[in-house]
Amino acid sequence: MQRVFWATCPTCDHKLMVDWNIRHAGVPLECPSCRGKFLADDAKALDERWS
Amino acid sequence: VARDLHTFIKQLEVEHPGDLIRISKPVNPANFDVVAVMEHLYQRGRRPAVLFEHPLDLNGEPSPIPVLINVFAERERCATALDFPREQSQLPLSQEFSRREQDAVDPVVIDASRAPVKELVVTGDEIDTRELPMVVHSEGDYGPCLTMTLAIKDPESGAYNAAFIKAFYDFEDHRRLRITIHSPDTERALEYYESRDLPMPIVAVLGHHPAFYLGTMGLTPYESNDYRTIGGFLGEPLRLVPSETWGEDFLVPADAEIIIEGVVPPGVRMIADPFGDITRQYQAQTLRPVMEVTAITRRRDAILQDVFAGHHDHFTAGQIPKEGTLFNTLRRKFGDIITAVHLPYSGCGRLACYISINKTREGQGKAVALAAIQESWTFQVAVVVDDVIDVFNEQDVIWATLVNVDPSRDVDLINNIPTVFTTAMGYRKVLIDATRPLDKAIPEMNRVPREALDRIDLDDYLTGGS
Repeated sequence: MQRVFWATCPTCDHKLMVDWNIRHAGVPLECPSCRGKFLADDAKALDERWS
Repeated sequence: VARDLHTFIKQLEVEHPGDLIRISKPVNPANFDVVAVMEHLYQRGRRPAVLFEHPLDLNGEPSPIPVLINVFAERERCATALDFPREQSQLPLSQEFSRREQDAVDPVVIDASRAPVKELVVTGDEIDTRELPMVVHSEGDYGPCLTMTLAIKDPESGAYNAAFIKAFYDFEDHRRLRITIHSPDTERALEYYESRDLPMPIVAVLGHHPAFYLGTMGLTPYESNDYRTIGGFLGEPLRLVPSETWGEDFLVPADAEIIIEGVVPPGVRMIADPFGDITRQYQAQTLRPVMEVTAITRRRDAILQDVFAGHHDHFTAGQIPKEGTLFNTLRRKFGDIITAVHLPYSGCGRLACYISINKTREGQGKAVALAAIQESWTFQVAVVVDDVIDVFNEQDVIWATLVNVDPSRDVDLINNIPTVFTTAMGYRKVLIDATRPLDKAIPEMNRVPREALDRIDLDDYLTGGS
């Protein structure tokens, strides 16, 4: 199963589901809600739980 | 007259009134108006094709291009698309699909002056994807998205391959789309071009006769030409015309509603997704290839066709061909004991397969389940039942599972096997033999005698006493 994580947009609090493959890629994520861009490390919150 | 989306709409309105609804009230597809109407219809148990005659484009301006959605939602409508009897829209339709796969028809090339899709041509700086009434499908989606097929051409064999591939509107460049290539054949072609640092030509076919799209769903080998396969589904040669960008080196369907031509630059990846997809779950945001648009051509009366993602419209289009292929594969392996197969809507037409067999000895159910689960990477659960169970009646399949299955013997978990979708099952698959055990003395299913059913004519009793 493809691993995903959740990143909360620092601008609008939208929770965005992201492929784990780009978690540490340094690629800005794009918020579908406010169209803002942010790095995963700058997310307001991260949910990376995985077992 | 060549078969196209317009001839199909006329056919529906003449032969099956009510199967297509026209909505004249203006809608904003980018603000969920289209999908909200569709969701309301589904909640009322209705799944017609719907033509939104007055949508707004992505500039918020009235668009001259209507939006048609939900064409594939009913198996009966797919049967009509193939000129097949609606009353045979269960397994016989799937078998007919398999037959058509083998019945390819060579395409024909016509002059651009006769090609409806060339009536309006836009190239260069005039290209603006915002002029399309693109639909946003689910809350939280990346943005407006085109959901129909993209076609590529294998550079070595010259064969065309078409597959359903999402193309997102690019908020940073209205001459670019972000495309989610995940079909194995298209991935293979992209690898070829990227390994040589070459741009890959690609075209989006945004509207055609539904038989065209059903033809693209065939599980044919990479080297086979989808334009030939589609001809088998249309029942006539697919009419092609040279593209604006590559001329005769890349042919496009002449009777399409809208064609977007473009190239996939090698090595370029940009953010795309989420998208509420086939499993009714979102696909995660990730990096995807892009398509730099080189031309948009269309009919004057073009209709933008779209798929109601994560609903029956999405499920059925893939369910029918996979059923046909699975049935044929199992028949070849096990013979006539295979009586029916179905990919239920509960599994989105992808995740689960139900198979009925005429069981003659213990263990056959498991053997069939094991063969079935390997037939597609999308299958996560295979359930085998006796032929007294109608696999299209899910309630009966679940009943058989509840009364026949000994979990310690009849359920198997296969670990560490490739799967496609992000479900909690992960890289695992489940086999369930829900056939009645032949080696145990257990109850059998109750029934009304066949003789009595044949003797009693229900209409005599319902009308005879009044």
